Amino acid sequence: MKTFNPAISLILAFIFSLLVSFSTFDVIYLLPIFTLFYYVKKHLRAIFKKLLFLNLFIFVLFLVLLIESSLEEALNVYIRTNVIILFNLCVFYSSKGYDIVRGLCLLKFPDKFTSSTFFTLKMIESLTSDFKNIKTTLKARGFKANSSMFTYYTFGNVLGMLFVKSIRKSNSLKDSFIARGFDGKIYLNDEFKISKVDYSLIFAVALTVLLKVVL
Amino acid sequence: MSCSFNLKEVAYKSETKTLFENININVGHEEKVAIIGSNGAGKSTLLKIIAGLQFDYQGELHLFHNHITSKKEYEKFRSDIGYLPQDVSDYFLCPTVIEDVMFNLRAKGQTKEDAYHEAVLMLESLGISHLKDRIIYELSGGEQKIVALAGILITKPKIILLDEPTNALDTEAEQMIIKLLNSIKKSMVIVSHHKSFIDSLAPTVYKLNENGLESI
Repeated sequence: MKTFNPAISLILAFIFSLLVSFSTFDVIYLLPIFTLFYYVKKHLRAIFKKLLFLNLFIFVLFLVLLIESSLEEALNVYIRTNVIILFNLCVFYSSKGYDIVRGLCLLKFPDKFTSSTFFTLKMIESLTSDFKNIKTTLKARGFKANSSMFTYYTFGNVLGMLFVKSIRKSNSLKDSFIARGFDGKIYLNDEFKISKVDYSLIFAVALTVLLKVVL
Repeated sequence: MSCSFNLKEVAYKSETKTLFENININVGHEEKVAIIGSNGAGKSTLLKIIAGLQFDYQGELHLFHNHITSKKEYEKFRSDIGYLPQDVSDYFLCPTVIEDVMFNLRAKGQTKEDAYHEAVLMLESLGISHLKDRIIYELSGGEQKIVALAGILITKPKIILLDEPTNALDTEAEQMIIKLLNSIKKSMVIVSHHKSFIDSLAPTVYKLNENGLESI
């Protein structure tokens, strides 16, 4: 699978999301999406599966807007939200991990901001994995959620455990900072190389912006 | 034998109880020492004290004949100490294996090219060069341990402190670690439950209990 330059991905994702957010839906928005489809064609099924899952939440937004305003408005927001998410899913699907951090690093964001983003992402990932493990344990120990005090106690305990774990993890991360001489900077090996893949995506987004904003 | 570090009358008290006291130990140059003890005896805490990560103890810590009385004083010797924690998942400071192994060298100001070259050699010597570009958090626990060890060894520390280094390793990886650690001529303190591992590595073994270290 073709991988995009993380910095280019980050900039294009920002521009495209901004453009789609502050305008009404236009067919031209599909140009960058279809460009991306070409590069991630083997993974479209997995990408759409993720999009479908996220739609559970977007659909609630759609319903709220439908009640509060009109069908046209709700549909417009619903489609635009999906377009933004689909673009981001496609552009970062080929990520070799922590592309946002790599992008920030290549774009010369302050070191402390880049490293804080990395450790935040790492902590989220670690706690998500812990949460999955706890869920498996609950299942393995025959726990079935229902509307009883015991269920609420158990959920309370799970949250408490995650809280304690996150504090412990922060402390051991702090120990690593000290032991390894961390000075607020993480060192990544990426170099700013722009490939054909990046150029084609830049072209698609630039054309979209041009057609939508300028013309 | 010149002394790498020693502890004099070290005691550690938690809020509720005395974890250990009367700890007296001398570890000489290139000496390998193992510490065993029951669960909760304070082995990891003792190692953290030597690693300069815990300063709320009583007694004296001497590093290379220097009495360490503050965190600031310890910092002068920080690069001479390599510490491998029991749980290495929070040890890593970079996303990929190669980037993390290079970290300490680059933090010291070494160029990217030199650091990369040294890191590749280190990974090759540990037999994990195939993991070079992998995301660390996707590796198994055993693989993560070896990568963390690579991150320590690349800094060429004078004292290596290992907390349960064979935890989560398979027999093959364990044998490789034994061979590797045996080939390293450094002062070493190993905390482990693994009898065969300790026997094949450290000639001096101490048992930690609340009254101190007992030679066995």
